[in-house]
Amino acid sequence: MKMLLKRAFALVITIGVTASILSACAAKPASSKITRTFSACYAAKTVEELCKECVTVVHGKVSKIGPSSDVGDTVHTAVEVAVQEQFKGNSQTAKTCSYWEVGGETDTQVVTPTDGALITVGQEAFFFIFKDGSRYPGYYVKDGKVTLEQFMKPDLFTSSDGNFKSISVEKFTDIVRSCVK
Amino acid sequence: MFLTSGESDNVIAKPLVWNYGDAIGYCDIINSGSTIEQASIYLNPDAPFTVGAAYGQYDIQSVITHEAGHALGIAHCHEIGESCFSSTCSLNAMNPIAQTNSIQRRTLQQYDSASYIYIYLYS
Repeated sequence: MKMLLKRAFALVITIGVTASILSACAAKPASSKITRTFSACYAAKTVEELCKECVTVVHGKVSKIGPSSDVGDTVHTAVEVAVQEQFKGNSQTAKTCSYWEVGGETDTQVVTPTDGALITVGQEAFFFIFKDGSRYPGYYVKDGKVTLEQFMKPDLFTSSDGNFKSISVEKFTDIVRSCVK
Repeated sequence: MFLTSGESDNVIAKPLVWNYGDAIGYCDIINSGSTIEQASIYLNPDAPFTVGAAYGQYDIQSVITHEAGHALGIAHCHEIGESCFSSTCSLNAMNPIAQTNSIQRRTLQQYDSASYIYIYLYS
């Protein structure tokens, strides 16, 4: 009788463990990742305010993207920039600088912006980098021009300009140089 | 929709730790294919929020209206520093730049409502 009880107990344990393993496998395959999208809104900061607040201000091109790491419920991706001109920062002769962007892919999740894609290698921009290592969005260079919104540099806009204006990289470089003086 | 329930974990919160850079508001969506499974809205704990129009402060209702638009799947009317093709760009609730001292963006513009209609009626 005692032996029979022992066998019955062992059988129950075996069935229980097997069921647990099977249900765990069925619930989430090891290869599945959480897929997230995100969007964010930002404060309207002028170029002058950014020059004052940011610890690093450079003009350059993205030279390397990654690695990415899980941070809370999101992902941060390291971005390296090949510096063409440094306006503000610890080393005025730095050839590269780094910051992080929200978004990227890790072993557990894929995080992408709702609007479009993450920044890519080769993207030219003016990078306004904050103390926490993030940057203010925008200020991309396309066809040798930077598109400004009115809030970025209100004194450049006249009533007939509307909310957007493209200016040459050279002109914007002069603006940033004068801001950080 | 955003109350925490047993089925999902939709929240509006001011988290203690802010992992989203210089953003004022942030919407995190967990997707399964084209289905939004969970949406969370976070407000920057260091940003000055108020209810109504006040100098140097963000109207919480306007920011939540914006982020709720994202939670429903609506994108910005343009990205910062990109051209905008909406004639009401600066008024749109889905403009990516939050306004201080204004309650204008509590009110949906044509871009905002048309985006919703496009997603849920025609997509």
